[in-house]
Amino acid sequence: MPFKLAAAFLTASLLAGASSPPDDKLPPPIAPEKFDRLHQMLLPSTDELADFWDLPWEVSVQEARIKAAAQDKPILAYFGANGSVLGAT
Amino acid sequence: MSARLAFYLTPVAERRKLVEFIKKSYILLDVDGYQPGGSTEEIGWWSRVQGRNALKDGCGNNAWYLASAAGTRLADPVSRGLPDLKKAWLAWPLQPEEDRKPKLSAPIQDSPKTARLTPPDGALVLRLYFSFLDAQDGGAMTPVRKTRWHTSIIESRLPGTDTLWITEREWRSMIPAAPRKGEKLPFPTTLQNRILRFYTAPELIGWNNTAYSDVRSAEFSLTVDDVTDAGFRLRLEGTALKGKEFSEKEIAPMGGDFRFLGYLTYDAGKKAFDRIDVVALGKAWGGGGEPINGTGKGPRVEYVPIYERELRPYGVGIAYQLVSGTRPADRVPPGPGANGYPGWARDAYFGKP
Repeated sequence: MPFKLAAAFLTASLLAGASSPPDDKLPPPIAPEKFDRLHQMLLPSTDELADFWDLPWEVSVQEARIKAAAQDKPILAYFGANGSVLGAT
Repeated sequence: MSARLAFYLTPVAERRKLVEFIKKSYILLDVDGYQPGGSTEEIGWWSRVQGRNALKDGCGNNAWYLASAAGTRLADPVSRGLPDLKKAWLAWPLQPEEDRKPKLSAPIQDSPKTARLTPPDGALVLRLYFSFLDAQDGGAMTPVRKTRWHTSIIESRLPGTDTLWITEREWRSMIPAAPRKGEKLPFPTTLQNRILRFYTAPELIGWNNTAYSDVRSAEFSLTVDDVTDAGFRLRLEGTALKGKEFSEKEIAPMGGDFRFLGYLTYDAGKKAFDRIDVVALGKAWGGGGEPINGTGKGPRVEYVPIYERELRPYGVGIAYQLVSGTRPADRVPPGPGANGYPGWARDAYFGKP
């Protein structure tokens, strides 16, 4: 394992509050007392568009058309090439 | 990602105004390029908007369109950034009324092949966020603040995302008859396989690779962590060794090693899990990403994850979180149903209980 990564995971080990043998293939166990902080760190912040999914998205073409006609509004549509832009794209 | 980047690259103060303007002036629509709708009427709408035989050619092209309810395109499509929303809004009253406000009815679902997938009845929906991790100057592992923007790398961090469906049968199997602290429960095998196969890799950048999906070994366990009058909490612990082992001499073999920790809280009054938070931490390697040099050839070491010409494992962190499933955005199909697999791989996704 390259030194840089070894150092990184040693640090992660300290963060996780547990150690593992150097030849252990697994990352160190995740310490329960660090769980909330880690989970929060991995969630997007508001600046990272955590509220992107809160926008008033329509996911049904026909429902969007019906709403647009009823409210006399144009439609702003994103056509995702690899599925939904709200999912794994 | 491109759609999110279009918003992300707008400065925060402007973004707030932009969002308010869109809410007030537009209907915002996500058209899934694989399952855009189950009726020929809907297919006809996006064929008119795109000006091509969308059913034959496919409708997804990673671009924004401005259109009327009747299907008139109001501006050129935009694949980088957003269209000129204010200009189109100002011109909107000039559109004929029959174009702006056509008479529409619920469509006949006569094209099941293109119908949108929705979560199975009773299923729980989790949203997950995937980050590459790295240590800065020997410090703690933190998310990498680099994102691919077409062929460039920009200083930003937008986690990859996906939705995960847990069937009613699976979550009900995690409810002990009489929970006692310390009690061990089996974790549903089908759910474990689903997480390991589809949700421990950055699928959105081309990692939907069967070699990576191989599991060398894995072990998940559930323990009753706490019991109160209001319900109980389960602790999920897991390990997984995936794909091939890392080799400095090989680029192609992909793999990853992970630890999992999570908490599932059951509300006895609601008879439902109301919190499921899971973290996966690990490292991954291999040339599964997209080369960004544009050639598609040669050593694939200049790929997305760490954005550098160094072949090494890199840190990976994934947060899984139960969502209500009531937002339309959380009811979109999981990536494995649309991205990288031929259609909806239902049997592969749900497995056999």
